[in-house]
Parts: sequence; C-alpha cells; structure tokens
Amino acid sequence: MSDHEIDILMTRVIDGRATASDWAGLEAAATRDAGVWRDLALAQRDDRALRGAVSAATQGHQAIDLSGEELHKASVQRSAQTLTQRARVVATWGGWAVAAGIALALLGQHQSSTPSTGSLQTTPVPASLASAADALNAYLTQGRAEGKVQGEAPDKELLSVEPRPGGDGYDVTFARRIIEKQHVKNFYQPGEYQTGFDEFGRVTRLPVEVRPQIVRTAY
Amino acid sequence: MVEQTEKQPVRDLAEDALASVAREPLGSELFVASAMAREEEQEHAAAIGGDPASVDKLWRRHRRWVAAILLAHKPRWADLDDLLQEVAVSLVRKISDVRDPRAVRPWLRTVAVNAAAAAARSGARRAKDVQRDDAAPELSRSASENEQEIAIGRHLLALAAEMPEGYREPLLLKAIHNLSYREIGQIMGLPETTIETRIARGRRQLRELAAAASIRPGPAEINIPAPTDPGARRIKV
Repeated sequence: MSDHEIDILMTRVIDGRATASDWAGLEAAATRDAGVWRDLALAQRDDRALRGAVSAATQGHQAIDLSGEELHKASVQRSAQTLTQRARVVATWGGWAVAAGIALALLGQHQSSTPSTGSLQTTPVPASLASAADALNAYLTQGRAEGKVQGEAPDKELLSVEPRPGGDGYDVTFARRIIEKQHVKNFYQPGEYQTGFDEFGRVTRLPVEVRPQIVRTAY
Repeated sequence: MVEQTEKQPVRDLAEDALASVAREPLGSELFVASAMAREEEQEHAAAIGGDPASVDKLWRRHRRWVAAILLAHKPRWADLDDLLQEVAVSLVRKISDVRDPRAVRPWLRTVAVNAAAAAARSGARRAKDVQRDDAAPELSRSASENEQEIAIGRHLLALAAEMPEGYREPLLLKAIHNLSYREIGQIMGLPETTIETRIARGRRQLRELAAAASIRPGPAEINIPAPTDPGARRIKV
C-alpha cells in the first residue's frame, strides 16, 4: 500500500467517513509500519488545531453584514441600469423621441408645465415669471406671436439617467429642441478657395443660389 | 485497495455522483440534502433577480466559507475583514450578472480569489501588519493543553501558507465546520474524489512542514470517530 493510499484512509478516519474496509486496510498497513498510528494521531491533532485556528481567524465574518444602505443603493442602481437599457433599446428601434417618452413615463416625472407643441397658441405673456418653465412658456408664446418660433420638437433627447444619492428618485438629463424660423434674403458661402479670405486677408463671401432639388428617376 | 482518482482528472460527473451516493449512509439524508440544494437554488435565483432579502440571506449562508477562501489566498499582511467587506459589496452589486443559480458558489469563490489577488497586487504592506502576522506564537511546556493547541493551530495556519494553493484551499475549507466534500467540490468546481485526494495530500504536507518546524510538544492521542463503531476508541502512541 502506497503512502498516498494510507493518507486517503487516514483522511477518511479523521473526517468520519471510514468504512470497515478502510479500517481493515489501515490496520493491515499498521502491522507492517507502526508509525501509521502515530501519523494518524498527529494528523488528528493537527486537524483539530487547524480547525480552531481557522475558526478564530474567520470569526470576524459574522460582523460583515450587508448594510441596508448598500443593498438599497445596489437595488436603485440595478433599476437605473434596466431603465437606461430599455431606453437604449427603444432608442435603437424607435428613435430618441420614443425612448425619452418611455423613460419619462416610467419615472412618473411628467412635467405638466411643459408647453404644448404644434398649433400656434394665443396665450398672453404672463406678467411675472415665477419659474424657468414660465419663462420658457413666455418665450414660446412671444416667439409664436412674432412668427419666429415654430414650436418645440416633440422628441426629447435622453442623455442620462442617474439615481440620486440616498435613493431619492432619479436625475434625468435630456435635451429639448425649439424650432425657430428666420427670414434671410440670400445664402453665402466662403469664397477664395473655401478659405473665406482674399489675398489681403479680407473676408469674402460668395452668394449661393438655392434651387429645388432635381430628383432623377431611373429610365 | 484505495481508489486512485487523481490519475483520471476528467471523470464523468455522473460516475462521481454515484460514488458519493454509495458513501451516504441513509437515503433520508440524501433526500434532505437534495431538498436543501433546491431551497438554496431558489434562494440564489431570487437573489439574482434582485430581491434584497434573498441577497442578504445568501451572504449569511456563504460568508463563512468565503472567509476561508480569502484566508487561503490572501497575502499574510492583508486584513481578512476588509477583503470580506469587498466581497460583500461585489456580491450586492454584481449578483445580477450571474446567469445560473447553481453557479453562485463558484462565482462567489472567484470573486473572493480575485479580491485576494488584488490585495496581493496592491502591495500596500504596513510595518505593523508584518510584525503582527510574522510573530510566532510561543509554545510553553507550562501552557495548558488548550493553549498549546491554539498555538499549534496558529503555527499550522502560518505553515499552510507555504503549501500549493490547490491543496491549501480545500484543506482550509474542510476546517470550516459542516462543510462536506461535496460542497467543497461545488465551490471549487472539482469532483468530490479529487477533493478527498487533495485534502489527504494537504494533510501529509502540513504534517511534514510541522515536523520540520518542530512545533509539536508531547505525545498525541488517536481519537477514532469511526461510524462503524459507535464507541469512539482511543489509542495512545
């Protein structure tokens, strides 16, 4: 019987897994070498001592709890990740307009003060501006009245969703686009080899004639 | 004849499971073990799904052996509790990345091994830690048997650091109360029979290291916990 086989038998004895056959094998080995019993005794004592040492070294594990704050933070983070992933998926297939709409709907942060888009309104400009939303409303109303502002693009570009510290909701960052109209008489482009300057360093501009695009159809 | 399994490292898992079943004394124990495994799997699935209570329960169930893994892999000067805290944070933040509830144990082991490896790389070794860890416990002849055993245990733990990881890790996991070969195998992703072989070899290595270091005073006494013999036998050597 090899040393390794004896080691296996001793390990089974130490761990209480030895069968009658294992014991017979160990006793047979011990008749040839009495040192087997000594090795077994030492191995048992080492095992007991090592158990005690490992137990003492790892007893601090009971003090390492998952704090409620950490769990909550992770939970919020997971929710935000899911939300951003959903928004990205929708953005890929349906554009940012839908993504932003879904994100805002999920967050329940619909802003009632957001000005409506589309047809011109004739709401008078408020006398005092209590908030930024009021100021924007005033700008849109005045701009429409002057024919400068067409309205606000219905899609909002979602830039990011971040959980707020302490789990107090989310910070949603998005861009709103205002459509304006400006009357111009001519278009110009930079002259002098596209540099925009002549040989004396003066700014040059070349008028551009704007024509309807001709769409050629296949013959 | 003792079964030689390490010569066949790639054993059929089913064959390995059958060998384990053959060693189980009672069918009812198998049923209980199976029920516990199912319960654990459900708990893991809930934790992966993001249920905070299940994540907390999972941590409480596994943190002790995670501590043993860290103990087996960390540099001597690194603080075990700090590393354990890191693993706990990783568990909370990344458990949802695990796809299979049955893979939670090996995943958690990998997290622990990586945390220990990162600590070793950081190399932020402080003088007081070195002094504390390298200080060998004194073995006095006048010390009580219990005190001697504690001192020997500390010596053995220090000597275990000199063993190859493949032997040290299962040996320290086995030193955790109630952790079976099967559970150690699940954690390390190895067959139960390989675990037995490694523990056997690890014990011999540790015994030889201890003999070389001359840390044992007095004779030892064999305590025989043979399941075939209800009355434990004691042999003085």
